[in-house]
Amino acid sequence: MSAREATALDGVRSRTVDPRAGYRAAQRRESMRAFLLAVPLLIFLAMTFIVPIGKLLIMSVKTDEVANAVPKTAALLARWPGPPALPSRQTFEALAADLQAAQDGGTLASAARRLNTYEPGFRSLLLKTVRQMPIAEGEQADEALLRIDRRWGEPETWRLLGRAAHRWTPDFLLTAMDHRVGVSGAIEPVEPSQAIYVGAFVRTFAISASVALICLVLGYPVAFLLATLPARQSNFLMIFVIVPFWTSLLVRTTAWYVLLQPNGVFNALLIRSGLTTAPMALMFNRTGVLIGMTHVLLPFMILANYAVMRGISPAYQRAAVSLGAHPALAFLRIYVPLTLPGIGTGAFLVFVLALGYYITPALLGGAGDEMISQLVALQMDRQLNWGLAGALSVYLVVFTLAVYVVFNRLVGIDRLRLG
Amino acid sequence: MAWVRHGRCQPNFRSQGRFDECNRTARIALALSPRDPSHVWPGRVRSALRRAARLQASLMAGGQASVDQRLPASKPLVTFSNIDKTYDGETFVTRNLNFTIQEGEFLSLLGPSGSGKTTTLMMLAGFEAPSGGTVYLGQSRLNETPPHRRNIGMVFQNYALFPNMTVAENIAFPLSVRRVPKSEQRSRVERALGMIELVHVAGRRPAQLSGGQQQRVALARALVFEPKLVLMDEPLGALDKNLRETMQYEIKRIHERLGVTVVYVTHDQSEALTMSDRVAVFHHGRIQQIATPKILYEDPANAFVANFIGENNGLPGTVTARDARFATLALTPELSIRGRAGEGVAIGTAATLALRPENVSLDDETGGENNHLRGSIDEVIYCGDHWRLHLTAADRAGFVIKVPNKTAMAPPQPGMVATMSWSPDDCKIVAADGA
Ligand SMILES: Nc1ncnc2c1ncn2[C@@H]1O[C@H](COP(=O)(O)OP(=O)(O)OP(=O)(O)O)[C@@H](O)[C@H]1O
Ligand SMILES: [Mg+2]
Repeated sequence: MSAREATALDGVRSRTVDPRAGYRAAQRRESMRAFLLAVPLLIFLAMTFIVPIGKLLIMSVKTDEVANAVPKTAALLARWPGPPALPSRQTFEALAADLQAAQDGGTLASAARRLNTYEPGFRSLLLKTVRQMPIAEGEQADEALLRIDRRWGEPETWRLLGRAAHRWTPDFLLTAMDHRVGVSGAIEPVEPSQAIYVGAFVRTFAISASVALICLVLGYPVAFLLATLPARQSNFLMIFVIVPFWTSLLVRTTAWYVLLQPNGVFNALLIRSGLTTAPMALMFNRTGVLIGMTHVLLPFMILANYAVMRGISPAYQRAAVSLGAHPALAFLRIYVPLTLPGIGTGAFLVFVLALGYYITPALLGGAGDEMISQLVALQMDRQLNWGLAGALSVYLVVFTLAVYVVFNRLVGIDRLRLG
Repeated sequence: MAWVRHGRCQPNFRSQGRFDECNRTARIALALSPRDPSHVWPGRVRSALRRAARLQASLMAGGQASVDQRLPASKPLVTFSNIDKTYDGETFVTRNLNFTIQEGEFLSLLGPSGSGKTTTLMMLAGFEAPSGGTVYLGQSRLNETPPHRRNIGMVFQNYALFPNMTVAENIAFPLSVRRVPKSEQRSRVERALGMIELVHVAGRRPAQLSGGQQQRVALARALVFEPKLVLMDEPLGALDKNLRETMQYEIKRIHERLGVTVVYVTHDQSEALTMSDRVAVFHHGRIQQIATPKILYEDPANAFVANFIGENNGLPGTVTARDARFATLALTPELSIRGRAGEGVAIGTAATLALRPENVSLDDETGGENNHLRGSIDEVIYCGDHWRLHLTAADRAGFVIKVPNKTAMAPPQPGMVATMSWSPDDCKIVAADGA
């Protein structure tokens, strides 16, 4: 018997001896197959979702504009003990050289913009300084800089430059919570006039919660109606719930824009019917935001509850009534508890979707109704402060996850399903 | 026409054994009934004990008391008077229903699918309103009373236990909506759990119970508020055969013990016949016959009942003669059968023979009064205690008879020609399907 034959026989024997091996192989093949089927979606998700979000997260703690623009200064400042003393003369010389190089290399503008977010006026200081470069022969760098602008004589200026020159920074995350690192190096709240983000978060949560509540109050009875009507009528009514999905969000919001204007259809009807004499303020305020967002998000609430209600046998309520409960009591004590998964799912969906709303509050809201997404957008494309935009987004993601965890505890995410 | 309704060797109520079992059930129920009347459901227990005493007396006196004698002579609890029901305004689901439910009785509604049993039950529970006629509870009209004020317990086919409540909370529900004090609720729930022997699952959710346990909890929930009347719509439909039989016994035991009136919907005839004091046979929304199981089986009112209940040799023919008790049915011009005359049987009308397979004997030794019929044996099936023969007689295949088996007997053979006979008292001439 040749060696090869022997091993082949061994293989056969081991296969027959251990049936679990065959089972495991089949399992592996099965999971491989499942994985391959999911690969296209995984790639898509990675490229469109995981990578951008990851970048955003990194952006919120990473900043290298200043460190890249003034590398030598950054290295020296890292070793400087900080105020009240000024940095060494060497540092002044390095800065002068760095600024010139940055001007030539084209990295100065972004560094200046970044520094301006720490201290308004920093950009002009840098530009003013670089315009007077190079320093005259024989003049010391520190004297020259002090001559160009007295602010180079203040340790605070250097401290800010030093902070900005770090590649990794908590500053965006602090700013997004209306805090900063103060002169003493301790974390302190910013001045009340600049504290806008915590308020915006609170407002965003308040608006989202209100929208979820309004949607629940309006949507629950409709879902009940749809779930209890005969199939033909319920299918017909269901069209009206679904139709909004066929229309773009922008179109629907614009429609409300037209309807809710002071001299729009709504006010005209109110005045015509004699309910009011003067037009009511229905937009550019919280009312407009709530109306618009409720309209957009209501179908989610209805569908989530409808899905659960459809599965509830009418026998439960009949049983409760036959046992002596008034129909209203039977509804409250039997039906409503059975629909809790629907209520939870609907409220969670609406709340989470509302957290990220942007267009509707922008079009229908007033000055006091800015939601966090609007501030993110503002930082992104107006202020070009991507770090802060990233930090705000990070908090939004974290808060949403927290809501998810709480929801999961209360209702159980395994019950989350639609239609 | 399929005038033999059942498969082979199927054990069913027809044997005397089943009736005996009924009486056995009754005896066990007696043994289980409480001795201390002040303890459990005092009002009900008194009547239960009275019934039990009566039954005991009859068992002692008659030795083998028939099921019929168990019937209490009590007063009507519910009366259906000319009840019509239509869902669409055109077809009547029930038509001119007239019947009473006696206090304390176990009444089954039996009938094929779609015959209106559930609808009748729903009208009684108040979930459907009759289109015409009146339902009385005692003397008072019940039509307008909303379901939650009717005080009627109900057991649904799929139990309808509230999934969001524990077993104990489920049973306490009817008490809590009646504002029974908490402490009393607790003791009554405990007693009810004891009755169904499920004290140990009080804290579980219905989903954590087996089908039979859920069934028992549903039963306890429907009984715990001491309704006079309990309705059950195919309560055992979802259980397997063994569990079904256990639960039949359980329901029967509880019925006997509490003396509560039960209306029980089923389309399982053996269930209806073994459990009930009376059975109402529904067909096309009408009650074909409402009677005790024994009368239903031995004295069917019409061809539908004869064919629906048990096995029947329903040979069709024309009535050629009738007197006060007997009628003659011509199957063919040469072949006539004499039997007890059913209602509505008149000379010249079409009628059907109602003859149970076990009433026919294979030889013609008994007197000249008897009916005789010759047939050729098509099939012989050995069933242990009896032989089951399928014959062609009076030009029709499918005539079934049962021949008691004796070990030394020469078995009948297919192809043989057999002469069968039975006495006119053992068969009945009933009106052809009038429904
Ligand atoms: N809600 C309803 N609307 C319209 N028709 C109905 C309704 N409920 C029952 N029916 C019809 O009434 C007839 C009797 O129904 P019912 O439920 O009383 O029958 P059943 O005897 O209980 O039958 P099963 O043994 O199948 O339960 C059927 O033809 C059925 O289609
Ligand atoms: Mg039914």
